[in-house]
Amino acid sequence: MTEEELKSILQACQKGDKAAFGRLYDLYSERLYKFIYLRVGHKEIAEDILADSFVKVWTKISQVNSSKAFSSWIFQITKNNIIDYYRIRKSTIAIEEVEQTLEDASNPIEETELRLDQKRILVALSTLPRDQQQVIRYKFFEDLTNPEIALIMNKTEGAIRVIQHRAIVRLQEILRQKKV
Amino acid sequence: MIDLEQIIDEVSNRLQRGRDISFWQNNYQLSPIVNLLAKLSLFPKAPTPTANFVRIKNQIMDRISEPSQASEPAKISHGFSYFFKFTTGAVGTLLIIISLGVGTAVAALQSVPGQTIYPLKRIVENTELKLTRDPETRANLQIQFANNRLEELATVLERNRTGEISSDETQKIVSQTIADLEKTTAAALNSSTTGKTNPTSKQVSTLNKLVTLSNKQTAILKPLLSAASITNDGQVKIVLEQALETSKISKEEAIRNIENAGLKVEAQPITFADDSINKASASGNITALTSDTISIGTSKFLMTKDTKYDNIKTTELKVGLAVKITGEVREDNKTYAQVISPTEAPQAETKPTTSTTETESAASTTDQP
Repeated sequence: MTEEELKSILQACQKGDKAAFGRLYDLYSERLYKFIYLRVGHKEIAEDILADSFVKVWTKISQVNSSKAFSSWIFQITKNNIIDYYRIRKSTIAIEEVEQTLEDASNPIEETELRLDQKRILVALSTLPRDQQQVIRYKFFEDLTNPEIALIMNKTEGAIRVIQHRAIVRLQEILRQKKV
Repeated sequence: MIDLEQIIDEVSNRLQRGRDISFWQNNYQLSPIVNLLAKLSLFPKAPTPTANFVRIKNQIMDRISEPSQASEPAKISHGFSYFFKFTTGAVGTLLIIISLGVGTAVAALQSVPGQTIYPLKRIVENTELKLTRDPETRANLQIQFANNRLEELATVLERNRTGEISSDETQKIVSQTIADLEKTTAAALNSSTTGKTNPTSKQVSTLNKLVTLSNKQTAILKPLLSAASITNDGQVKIVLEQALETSKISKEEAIRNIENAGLKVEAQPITFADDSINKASASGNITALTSDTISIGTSKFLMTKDTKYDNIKTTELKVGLAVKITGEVREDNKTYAQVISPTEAPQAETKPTTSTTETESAASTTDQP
């Protein structure tokens, strides 16, 4: 979908067009659901959080000013709903701990099916600084975009690109030294 | 000058979208990095269970189509019957603050007094009540909420029994919950019986529910009162007595209204399964004694002309004497001594005079050089 098409859908939604909102759901539901599921680990809970997130999107859609910001905005709403879920499951947990839990998706990759070279990459990845590891995991294991990663990590998109660059260069250097 | 940062970003984005990257792979300088990016994108992803996206979409569309009675839309949550328990008719009247999210809302509705999220449950109930104008629906809601208080009471007592919460905390929670129960029952009575000279069948159904609630309350609260009487727990006793009184009045009023309509009460009585619930007993040294009361620690019994003294005379009763008292809690919620008997071995705290003399003799013997 082009940016123009998305803009058109958003404008229609803002005018109360539910069919347009249905299209928005079709575009984002699968990715958001996967994002939620990797963090709550329960299908029904993930479905309900997904539904809640979209209902909230509908009620607040007038706040969206640009189609560029929409993706990160919808992720923000979803992220907040997941935080609420965790806060209530463990009502004594601090918000910082929840956000940390949120950042680390549980098992986005099927580790039992890795080839030897993939396992080596994973080992090398684990030696990188935390933020570099996270960017690589979000980008390649969860298929998140730079704006979405920026939102989750509370950084700018430019910062995410820099981290990604450093992570890949570093990873390549480690693997070259180990001759993978 | 190669902008590696930009290339890495471009290639990774193309890989995400399944687009061709051979242009960069064919560049010998870039190929190691590009091949690494390709390998990363080919990691096997953990399977995510497929969601029923169509059902979820329909659910969302239903929710956003409901008329909003406040700034937040109505919320129905699939698969959580607790929500449906709270709706008594028009779905549109159900408003639960949407910013709670599903996990929050469910946890709130399952919570009991003492838990951090419990206040949210009460907010939900109060919100629902405020938005309900029909008196019959209000009465039914209040009866439902009163039943919730009874369930919470049972849960709190169980948690105390298993040691999850302390007795002190339990006492506070129980007192408050029973006080809330009493208010809710009174409110339910008010809603269901005000101005009902000729109740309709729907109203009679509500009145029957009120009678059932009263029976349930009596069955649950009376044993608690017995326990409170034995432990001389003044605070809990007071709220229990008030709650039982309100329950009794509610039942009488509801029955009167049903009978005025020329109908029979359909509510089932709830009987005590165990007669021993009214029984009380205590064993130990007498700690307080008056002409008509005898106490062992915090257990206080009333002595009457019916009290039997087994192997002991009334004149022999004194503070410090080890006795066993069996009694019962009667209709006035006071504990009456039925049988008082001495126990065989004297307790450590008090010793008869003869024991003391013997001890002194022994002491004086050992003190001799």
